[in-house]
Amino acid sequence: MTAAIGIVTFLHIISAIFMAWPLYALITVNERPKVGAILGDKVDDFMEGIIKKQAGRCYIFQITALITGLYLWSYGNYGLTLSVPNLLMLGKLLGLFILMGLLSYVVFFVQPKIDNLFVELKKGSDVGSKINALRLKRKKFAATCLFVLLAIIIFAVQIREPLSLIMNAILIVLVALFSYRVYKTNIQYGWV
Amino acid sequence: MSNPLVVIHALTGVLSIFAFLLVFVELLSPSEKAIGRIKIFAIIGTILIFISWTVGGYYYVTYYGPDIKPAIKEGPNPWIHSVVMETKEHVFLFLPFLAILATGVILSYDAGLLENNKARSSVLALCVLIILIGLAVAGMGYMISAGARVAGVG
Repeated sequence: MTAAIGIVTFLHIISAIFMAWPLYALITVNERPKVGAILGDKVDDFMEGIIKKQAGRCYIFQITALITGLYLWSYGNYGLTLSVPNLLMLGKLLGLFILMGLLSYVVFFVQPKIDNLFVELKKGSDVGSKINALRLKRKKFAATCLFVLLAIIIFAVQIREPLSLIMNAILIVLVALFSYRVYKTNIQYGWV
Repeated sequence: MSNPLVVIHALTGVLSIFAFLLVFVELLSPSEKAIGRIKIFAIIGTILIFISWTVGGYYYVTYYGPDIKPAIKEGPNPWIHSVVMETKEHVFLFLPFLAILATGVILSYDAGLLENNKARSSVLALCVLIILIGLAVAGMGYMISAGARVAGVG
């Protein structure tokens, strides 16, 4: 392995690790009731600010993963045929595009509505239920992102040594269950 | 080992995408402090696109045209040149002009971007175009590298 490929592999893996934000966002959101944060108070503002600004970082990690992934594919001698590794990488690429699309939907359609409602809330309007409904929608998107990210990782680990179809199905069901679990409740013991 | 000109061409191209990505990220929730950074990122991104263009053009004329192109066209995937490279050459040309336009709008509106939502949305749209076209061009570049390797000249 040349130094360049080593560095790019490092960047690729570290970007994928930093893309685990949906997991921590869901944990943060599930912890919110425990601190008794009232809608629009300082604690709520603090958590909202973190969630909102993470979108920009997510774009940077996603594009780093994309560019480094393309580099690793190009220098990996996978050829230009529809082989299993190339199909798996195509699956990863599509998964990444889905993640970018979901993130963009939240950034350009859901988040501006939440921000406008917070402006109204601070003027005294009773828009709490509307904000909570949009936050719930955003939470669903985060759980979907987590599932897609875990599916991408399932594809990634098989590039050198593909697993059987049944093993793939089992892993997909497990990551779906895990994503749903993280969406519904706090995962006090890591996996459950 | 890759030709150093290809490395400079690819690296400056990728860094220019990141420069406009930073402009995009800063514009999502802009502040007065961010305006200065936005201008710097946009100028750096535009300069990097021009460096990538110049180095890529020199490499094409000096090495790719005489050595790599004939090998790819005689190899198992001639479409890598006739489709991918031809598309890349033409689509790339949008980038320098979109970058100049985005930078021009940023410099002329300056702090006005904070209040003028239409101008901010326009710059965001330009950044999205630059990033998407840049990523497509980068992807095509990596395909051409893989194609050259398959043809035994990479």
